[in-house]
Amino acid sequence: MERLNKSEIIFKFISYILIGAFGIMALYPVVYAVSASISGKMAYESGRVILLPIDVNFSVYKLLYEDKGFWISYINTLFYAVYGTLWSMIISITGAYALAKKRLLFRRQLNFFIVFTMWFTAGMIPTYLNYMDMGIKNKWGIVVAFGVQAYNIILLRNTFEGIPKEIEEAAKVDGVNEFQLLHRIYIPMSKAGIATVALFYATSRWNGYFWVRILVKDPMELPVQVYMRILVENYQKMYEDMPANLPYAADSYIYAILVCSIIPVLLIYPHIQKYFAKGVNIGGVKE
Amino acid sequence: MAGLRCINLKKCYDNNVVAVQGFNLDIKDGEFIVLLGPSGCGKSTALRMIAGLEKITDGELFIGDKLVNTLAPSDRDIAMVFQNYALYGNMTVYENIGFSLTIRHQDTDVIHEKTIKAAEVVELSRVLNNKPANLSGGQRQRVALGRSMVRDAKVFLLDEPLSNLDAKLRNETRRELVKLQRRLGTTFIYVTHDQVEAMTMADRMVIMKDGIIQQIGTPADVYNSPCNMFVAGFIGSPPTNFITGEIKNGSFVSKDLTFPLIEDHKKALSSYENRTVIVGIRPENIRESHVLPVKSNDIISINVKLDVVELLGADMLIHFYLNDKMLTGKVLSSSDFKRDQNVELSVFLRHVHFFDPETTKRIDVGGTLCND
Repeated sequence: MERLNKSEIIFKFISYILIGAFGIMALYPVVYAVSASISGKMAYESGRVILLPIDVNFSVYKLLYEDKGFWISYINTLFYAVYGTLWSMIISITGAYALAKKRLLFRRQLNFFIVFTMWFTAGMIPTYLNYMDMGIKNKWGIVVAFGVQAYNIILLRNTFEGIPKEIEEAAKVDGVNEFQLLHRIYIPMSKAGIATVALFYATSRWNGYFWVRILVKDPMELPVQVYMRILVENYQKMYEDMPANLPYAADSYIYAILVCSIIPVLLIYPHIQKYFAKGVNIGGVKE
Repeated sequence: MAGLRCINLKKCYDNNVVAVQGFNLDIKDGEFIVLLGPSGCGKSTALRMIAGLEKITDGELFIGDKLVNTLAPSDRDIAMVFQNYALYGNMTVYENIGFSLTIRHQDTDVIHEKTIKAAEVVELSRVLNNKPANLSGGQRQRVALGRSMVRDAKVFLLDEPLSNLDAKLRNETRRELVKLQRRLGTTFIYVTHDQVEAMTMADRMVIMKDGIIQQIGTPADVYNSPCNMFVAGFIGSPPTNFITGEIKNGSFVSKDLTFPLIEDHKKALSSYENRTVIVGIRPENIRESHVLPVKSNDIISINVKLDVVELLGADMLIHFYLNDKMLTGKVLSSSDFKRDQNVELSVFLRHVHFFDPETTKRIDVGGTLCND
């Protein structure tokens, strides 16, 4: 085995330290949220909960389980994430596929228009007025109106462009039409890119807060992030309303919602992460 | 199975670059045709026009009796093998081979039967569940072949299918391809820049340069009777030696080499008296003198000092100067020639060719130019 020289050892050491520190910074809030949600009231309010839970009890989750408002917002969030991601992916994949084709009429101009939206945005007020004029004020409106992000289309377009043209030509000789080419060849061969973009969309939809808060008026259609925010805003009232003899703190309730809201992401991420490592087209063509 | 007729095919791109023009070719049913030429000569473009992957700018293309100019690739009843295999990396070998049948919604049993049969022919039965990434280069190329075979296409188009294989595998696959073509009896059109592939596989070969066909003929015809200087230089390795000179009093005269014409050449060059011609001598027609059994009028001797000697195994290439002109000869390695050695070589005059310097065409017996 080759021995590392001194500078390489120092470089590796610093790298590990930095990566470790970054990992702890990312992990600590999650661990703290879980600990805070299951710690006892006295322990939490006296500031003794720093990392691990103290006086563990799960009564806050029982209360959360019985909170109808939480479940409605949770289901709404799932709705935004599932339908939103699905819709965004349909638009992005078909758009990116078309833009990846060299024979597309006005291809350069169309690409420019899409990239232009990444450099220049209209600003919050005009955007808001635009959404209002379009009548975006319910769940379906949010799903449809926030269909695509230019960055994701460009990402998918580049993924599709990476597929050798000979593959497309071979498929054409085999007899595929344009739709079959997309769903039998391009999509399966671009799993890595598609999984990445789907994850981007899903997390952005799952964490969607600002525009839903601004545009959606019906409280029955609000997602969990907005529900949580409203709880935080009404924290003082909640604190005062709470009976003094409860085993958990008012904050624990909010932390419990936070923990519940990240569970789906934690469950899905490991399954999608494997696609990041490599594409599936290895070996299809001679490099 | 079907023949194929190309009538004056032309391909002109949007930037007015003409890739192929005047492409006339009749291919018989079951024939193995090789399109050969250097990079950029238009051979792949011609093949892609036949496949329907490039639009034909002008001319007519018939597959069998059917005009196919405007037909989509899938409707031309052709199969194509690409240089880089173009396999579907997301599918197994079985799925790759059967894909064209699946797309055509054929019965599952038929797909299975044909796929298994094709896999047996290309000897891939044991790796049917593997994905292309887990196959060797040779196996991948055989998957591409199997994928083409499964559809019983009328014409097989192969675009430099062996160029990504190593030398040993290339030789083996070359032989397998020829056997496969004989077994299937299907028309094969094969594009390559490798003259060994062309010479060994073709029933007829088509030599191209700058988008124009230079010569069509059997490998022996093309080698023995090259139509012009390009073909004479391109076919054969190392390339033909060319020397410019004049015909004077029944002799070829140049500052590098002078020799009397043999009777056949005298007749052919009678109208070139006192005119410039170019003589082409293949390296294999410049041999070591001491192995020749008898002296004859068809052979002249030259004494040279060897400049470079390259041992190839059984043969040896020798490079030497005649005045300022460097020539190459091919001798047996047993000659044991050394660099800077003075040797006597023999030139076989019967096999030299004369070319018209203006048209670069070969001067035929009777003084006419080749193809005129």
